Amino acid sequence: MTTEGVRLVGDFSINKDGLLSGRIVVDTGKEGGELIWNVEISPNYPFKAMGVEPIQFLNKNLLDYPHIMENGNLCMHPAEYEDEDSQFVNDLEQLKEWVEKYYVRGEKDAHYEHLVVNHYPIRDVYYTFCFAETQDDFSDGDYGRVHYAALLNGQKNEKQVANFVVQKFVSVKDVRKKELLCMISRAYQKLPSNLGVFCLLKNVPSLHNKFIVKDYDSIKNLFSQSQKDYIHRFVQSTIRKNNCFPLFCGYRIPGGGVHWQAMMLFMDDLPLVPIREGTSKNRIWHTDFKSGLIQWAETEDISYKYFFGRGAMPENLANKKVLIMGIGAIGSIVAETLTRCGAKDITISDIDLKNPGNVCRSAYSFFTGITEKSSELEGLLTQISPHIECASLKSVVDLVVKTYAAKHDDKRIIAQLYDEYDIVYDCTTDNQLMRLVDSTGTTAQVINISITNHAQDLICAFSPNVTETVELVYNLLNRDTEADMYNPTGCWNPTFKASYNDISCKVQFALKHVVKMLSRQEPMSNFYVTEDDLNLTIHRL
Amino acid sequence: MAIDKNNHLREVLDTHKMHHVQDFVNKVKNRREEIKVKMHNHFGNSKYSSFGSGSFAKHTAINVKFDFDLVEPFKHSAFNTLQEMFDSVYDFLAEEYKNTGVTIRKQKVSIGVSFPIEEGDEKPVELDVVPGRELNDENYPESHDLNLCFNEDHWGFKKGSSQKTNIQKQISHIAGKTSEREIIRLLKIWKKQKGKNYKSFVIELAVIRALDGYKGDSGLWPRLKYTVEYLRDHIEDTSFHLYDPGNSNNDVMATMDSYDRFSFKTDMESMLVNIDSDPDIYLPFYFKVNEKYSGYKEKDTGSPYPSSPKRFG
Repeated sequence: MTTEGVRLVGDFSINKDGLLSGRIVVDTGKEGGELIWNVEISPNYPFKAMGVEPIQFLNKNLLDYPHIMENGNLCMHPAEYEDEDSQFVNDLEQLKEWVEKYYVRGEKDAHYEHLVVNHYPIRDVYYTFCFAETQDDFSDGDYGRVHYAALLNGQKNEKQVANFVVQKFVSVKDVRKKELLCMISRAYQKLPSNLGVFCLLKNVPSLHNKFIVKDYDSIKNLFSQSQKDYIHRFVQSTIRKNNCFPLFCGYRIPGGGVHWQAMMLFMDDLPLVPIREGTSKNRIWHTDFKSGLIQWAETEDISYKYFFGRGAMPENLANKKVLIMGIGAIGSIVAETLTRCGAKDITISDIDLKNPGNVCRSAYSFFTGITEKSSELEGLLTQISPHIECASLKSVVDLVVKTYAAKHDDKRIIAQLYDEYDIVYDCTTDNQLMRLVDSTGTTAQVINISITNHAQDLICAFSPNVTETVELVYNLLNRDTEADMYNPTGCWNPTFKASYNDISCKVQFALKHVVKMLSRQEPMSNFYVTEDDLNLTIHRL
Repeated sequence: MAIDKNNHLREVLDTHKMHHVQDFVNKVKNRREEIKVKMHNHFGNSKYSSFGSGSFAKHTAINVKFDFDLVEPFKHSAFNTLQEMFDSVYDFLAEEYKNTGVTIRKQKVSIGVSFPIEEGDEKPVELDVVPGRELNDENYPESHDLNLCFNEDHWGFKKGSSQKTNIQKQISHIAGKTSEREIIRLLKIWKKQKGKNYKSFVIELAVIRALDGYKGDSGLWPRLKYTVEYLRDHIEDTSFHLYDPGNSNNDVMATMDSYDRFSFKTDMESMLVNIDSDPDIYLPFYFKVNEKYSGYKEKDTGSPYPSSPKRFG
C-alpha cells in the first residue's frame, strides 16, 4: 500500500513479539530533502492500547522540531478508523501534514508547552509536588527554603506515589526570610511542613527547548555560586533530620510566572562536591554539582487558572462570599458543586449530625461515621479544592438568632450576620428561618432551594420576599404531602423519599441557571423545575 | 370565585396611596421646608426659588417607596464650576446639621439628607437636595433648563461633568396623565415588591409611550396588560429609545444595558404567561395588596405555614 509522496525503504520485518518495523521515505518537496522515518507497528494495530498509539514514526535527527519526542518518535493523535487499511492511510497523511507544516514551513505552535519530564520511580517511589503561583514575584537569582506538606500517598504501576503540595517559598537572597506564600487555602498552609530548597535558575534547563536536561553537568551552570553554596548549607543543617529533600529549580515561562521542576537529592548520595578557590589564607570553599544523572520528580502547577482551567463558574462569581444554611441532601450537593466549580469562600451551617442513612442522597460518606454534618463537609470541600476557604458556623447560631428574633422586632442586628456574605443559600426548609431571613432585609442575595416529595419538583426563590414565592409555588404544585413518606425506626420525623440521582439532577439543573443568573447571563427570576418522562422544565415567575 | 382583576388592581393601588402615611408625609414636608429656608438664608440671591420634585411631585409615589426631592436652581454666576456648586451645598448642609444626628451624604446628582428615625416611625425622614445651575446668565426664568453635577462616574460621565435637564418639563410631561400614572404606580409597586432595579424614570417614560393613543378598554387590567405587552415587545429592541422630556438629547434607555433590557423583557413575558395561566394565584403574586392598609379582608396572620411537611431539602 502506498500514498502519494511516501514510499518504503526496503522490507519490513516482524519480531517475536509481533512488532512490525521498517523504514519509509517522505518527500518534502525540497531538492534532496527526503526524510527517512523508522516505522514501528504494534500487533494490536489499529487499536490504541494502554494509551499508546499503535504506530510510531521515528527520526532522532528531528528532535529540534515540534512534537518530536525524546526517542525521536512523532507525537500524534490520529483520527480513528475501524479498519486497518483506512487507519494506515490516515496515519501516513497525518505524518505528511506534520512534515509539511513543521519541517517544510518551519511553523511553531502558538501555545506554550511545559518541558517534557519522564516520570519514573526514584528508589522505588514516585515523587510528585504540586505548587501554585505566589502572591509576590521572585527576584532574579532567588533562592531559599521550600515548605511543603504531605498529601495522601498514591499508587502507580504497583509502586507508591508520594504526593506533596508546596506551601511557601522562603527567600534568603536579598532579605532574610522573605516569605512567598503559594496561593492555596489556609487549610493546606497549616499542614505540617517538610523542607527543601529552591533556586530560580538563570535559564530554562532544557534540551532542544523541549526536554528537561538529564544530568548535573547540563544544569550546574544555570545555578549561581551563591545558590550552590546555599544548597550545601541547607544540607549541613538538615542532614540529620532528613534522608532526602527536593531541590526546586525554577524558570520564568512565557506569559509571566515561574514554573518549577524538582529533583530529589538523597543525603547518602549527594551530587555535590567541594571546590577550593585560592590558597592558604585566601582559600575559600565553594560547592558545585558533580557529574551524574538527575532524578527528576513530577511537578504540577495547581494555580487557580490551571486547577479550574478545564471548567469553572465565572471568576467574579467564584470570588463571592457564600453562606450555605442547611447542608442535607440539597445543601451538601450545592456546596460540593460550587466547590468543584471554583468557589473560593464558603461558610456552611447545620444543626444536624450525619447518620449512615443520610449517605445515600447527599455528599457525605459512610467511612466518617456519625459526626457533625458541618465538620465532615468542611473537610470534604477542603479535600476537593486547595483554593477554597471553608468555615462552619457553630450550630448554636441557630438558637442565638431565633432567641434574638423572638425578643426583638428590629431584625437589623440579625441582618448583619447575613450581610457578611454576598450570597446566602437557604437549603434548610426551616420555614421559620425563611420568614426570619426575609424580615431582616439583608443585603446578601438569598437563594432558597427546596424540593417536593420524591424530588418531583425543585423550587428556587430569590430575595426579597422569598416566603411569598415559596408559598405560591407550593400551593400551585399542590403535591400530596402525606402519602408515601419514609419513616425511619425510632422517634423521628418522617422524611421525603428520593434518591441521590433524583435530587442531584434537579439541583445541578437549578444551579446551572442560578450561576447564569448571578453572572448576568440569564435574567434573574424565581423559578421552579418540574420533570416529566423526557424533560426537566424550568418555569419562571 | 375567580378574581376580578380590575378590582384587585384597584385595591392594590388604593392600599399603596400616600394618604395612608399622611402623618409621615407631613413630617417630610416640614423637613423639606426647613431645608428650603436654610438654603434661602444661606445662598440668598445666588439662586432662584427652590421647588419640589421626585415621585411625590409627579404623583407617582407609592407608600412603600417615595422620593421627596428639593431642587435648588442656582444662578450661573454663583459658582465657577458645577462641582464647586455641588460641594458648596454639601458643605453647607454638613455644617448646618453638624452634631444633630442628621446624616448628609453625596449621591450621584444630589445630596442625601437623612434625619434620625423618630419613635413610632418605620423609617427615617429622607430627602434629596438636587443642586442645578442655569445654563447661562438669567436663562433659567425663561427656559427652566439646569445643568446638574455628576458627582460620581455615572453613565460614562466623569466626576464634575454635567447633564442638562429640565425638571419642570419632566413634571409637566406627566401632569394630567392620570390613566398612565395608575399603570406607572402599579409597575412601581411590582418593582418594589420584587426587588427589581429598573429605573423608575424608564418605567415612567415607557408607560407614557406605551399608552400614547391607547383606545382600548379603560379598565385597569386591560391598560396594564397592554402596557406589559408593549414593554415585552419593545424594551429589548436596541432601536427603542426614550428621551428625557427635559433634554431631548438624553436617551434614558442608554442607561439600560442589554442584560437589563433582556431581563425586563423576560419579566414582562413571565408575568403575562403566568397571569394568563392562573390569574387567581399569579395576579396577587405580582401585584400584592398592601395588607397594612387593606380594610377589605382579614389578614391571614397566625396560621402555620406550611400546614404539613411538604418542603424538603
